[in-house]
Amino acid sequence: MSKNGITVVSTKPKRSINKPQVPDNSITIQRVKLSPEKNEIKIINLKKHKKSKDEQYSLANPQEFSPLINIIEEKFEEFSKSYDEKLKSMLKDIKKDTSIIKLDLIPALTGKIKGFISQFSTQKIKEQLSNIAMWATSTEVDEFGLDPIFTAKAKFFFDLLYEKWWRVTTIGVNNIPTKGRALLVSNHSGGIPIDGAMIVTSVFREHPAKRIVRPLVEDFAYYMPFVNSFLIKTGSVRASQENAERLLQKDQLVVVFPEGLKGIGKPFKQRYKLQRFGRGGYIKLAMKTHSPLIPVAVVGAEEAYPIIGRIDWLGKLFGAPYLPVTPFFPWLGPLGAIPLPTKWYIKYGEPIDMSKYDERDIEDDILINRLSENVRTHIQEMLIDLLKQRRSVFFG
Amino acid sequence: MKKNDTGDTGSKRVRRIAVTGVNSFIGSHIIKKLAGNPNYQIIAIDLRKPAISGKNIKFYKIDLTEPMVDAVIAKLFKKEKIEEVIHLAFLSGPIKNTGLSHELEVIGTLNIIHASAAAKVRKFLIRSTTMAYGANATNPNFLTEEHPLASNTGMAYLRDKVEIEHLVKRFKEKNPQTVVTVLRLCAILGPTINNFLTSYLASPVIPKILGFDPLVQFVHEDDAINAFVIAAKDDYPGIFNIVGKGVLPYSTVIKLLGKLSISFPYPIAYSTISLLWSLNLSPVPPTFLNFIRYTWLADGDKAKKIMKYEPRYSIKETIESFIGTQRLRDLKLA
Repeated sequence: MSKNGITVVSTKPKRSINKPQVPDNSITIQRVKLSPEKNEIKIINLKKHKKSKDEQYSLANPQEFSPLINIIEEKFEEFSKSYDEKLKSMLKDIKKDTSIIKLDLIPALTGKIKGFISQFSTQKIKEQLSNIAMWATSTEVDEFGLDPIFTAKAKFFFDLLYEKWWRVTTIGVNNIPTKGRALLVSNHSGGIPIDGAMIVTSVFREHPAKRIVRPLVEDFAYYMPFVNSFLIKTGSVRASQENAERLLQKDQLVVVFPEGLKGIGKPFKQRYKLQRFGRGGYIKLAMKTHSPLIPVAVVGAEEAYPIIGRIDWLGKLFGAPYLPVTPFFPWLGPLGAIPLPTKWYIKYGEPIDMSKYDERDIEDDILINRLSENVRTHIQEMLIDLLKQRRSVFFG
Repeated sequence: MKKNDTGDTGSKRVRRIAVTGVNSFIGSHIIKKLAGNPNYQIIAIDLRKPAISGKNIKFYKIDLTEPMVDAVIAKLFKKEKIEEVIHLAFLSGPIKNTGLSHELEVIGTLNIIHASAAAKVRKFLIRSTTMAYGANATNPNFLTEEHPLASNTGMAYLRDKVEIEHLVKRFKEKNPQTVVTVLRLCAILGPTINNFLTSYLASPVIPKILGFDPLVQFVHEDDAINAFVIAAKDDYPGIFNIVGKGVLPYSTVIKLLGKLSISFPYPIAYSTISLLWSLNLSPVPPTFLNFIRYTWLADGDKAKKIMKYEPRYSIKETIESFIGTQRLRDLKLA
């Protein structure tokens, strides 16, 4: 298929040859256990590859990336299964042991000083809360800071959004290769950049190889308190040519939003109208690393946060470039910050082969601009297709 | 003296090396490795006599900050027929007297560079730090040797480090025949080393910037010494980042250390540390706080590829080896 000068190569037949990277959890790792005192992952009983102590898996090695996925999966299952019980038992404990909530002054009054002081032991409170709060972190992270235990817990929240709130329908996830590098290019919308998180969730849930996508995030987020550490721990990487190159050289999946801030901050009446695609940095990146481009269209995010205005100076207070104004925010306070439960579609287009370009083409700015524009129109067409099929914003 | 691996027994030519700052951590270990090796003739330069003596070590007490000391050193280098210089006379961390620090670090280096140029030495090896890149939110996750060094920094210690790098760069340009090696080490940690970072991490309460949790890296002291031994033994012209294996978030490091951490918003942390620094109660100046706020990881791939330097300790092992002895030190057992 040749369209706008881009050759679209289908990888579908290849997929049947390549076995999925991680076919079954039980094959590579049988049990992953979290020791409660040290928050440490222990890999017990490796069935297939028995490794010596020296060559324990390292997260930096892309071939060995699959154990990480297993850890996230296992931890997540463990966590979500016991979530209800833990919550219940915790509430029960709190009811039983009122000292957690309010100080029991009776021992102090009756002169039992030791009993009074023992209430201040934070160990007990910490132990109980750490089951629910995201306090548990791994003592091993990959070189960009992805923390498997933290991510497994964050996934619980994103899964809720994905499954229950936005009821995301994923189309064409098999266009993403089961192995090797690929650069996902997506439209960006919706006031806050939550569409990136949904793409990551969608690939992790729907793709047969359960691949981890690394989103490239705009600089400003790394100046924002809390946001930056959350992003680092869940696997996001600051958008820079060096970082993206390093990830792709290690055969990972990277998603970029070439529209950048222009995309998420555009007013509601311009919805689904793609903005300028940066300066084509992502095309150069794909050429340099010979990664296929996979166009991604996200529908539904635009209406989740209908932006009717933006307050720049108020955003600057929090280190953000602007504060979005929607019909509900900031008028209804924190309640207004809840996104609308629109119905989402995420469509992965067929990969665009970039291996035919070589070093010289990277210098050809006109070519890069043209290719970038072609990709943009391709994604725009995908968006229009999806919008044509959609009958209702909230029910799909 | 035990057998050591630094001597190339094949060549009979005696290598004549000048080492400055032999009482520094790296300097003392380099001397230890070379002492007693007949293939090396060493000129040790420092203010104090090194703890190790050997037949092949000659000690000269020279203050690098004295006026006209460059001519003295040049004369010494020529007299001793020095071919290689290892410059390690640096402070182990920022000090309050920034004037003195500047004199020792920058002017001391300048004097050594002048003398080395005058004596036409064949090889010049100098220690630098990856802190010189500066901590910034817009740094790429892994800074390569080509990345520009920090500019407009408020930290005097850092400004000196960057200036030293520029001096060395100019020296290299003026003397293209000299093999100039710069080793940029990331923070060194280990059971025996004592620098500003170890005293910072040894304090019972470690500050954190509220909402920021950058990735950090350390190099184990054995790996750092090993890198210098490799660079001293063979010629590797260029700049190399020397880092350890793996990275960890700053908060996880504190957890592994078993220390209490308190999070402050940046302005409050800055003014608190300013006060403590002026009272000599803080091992780090307030400007250091940027280094626990933003990323400054260095990419060690070049040293791995060219120098064949392979770190043996992971970051977790490095931290554990440090805190293990630190606990004993706290109990006055070590």
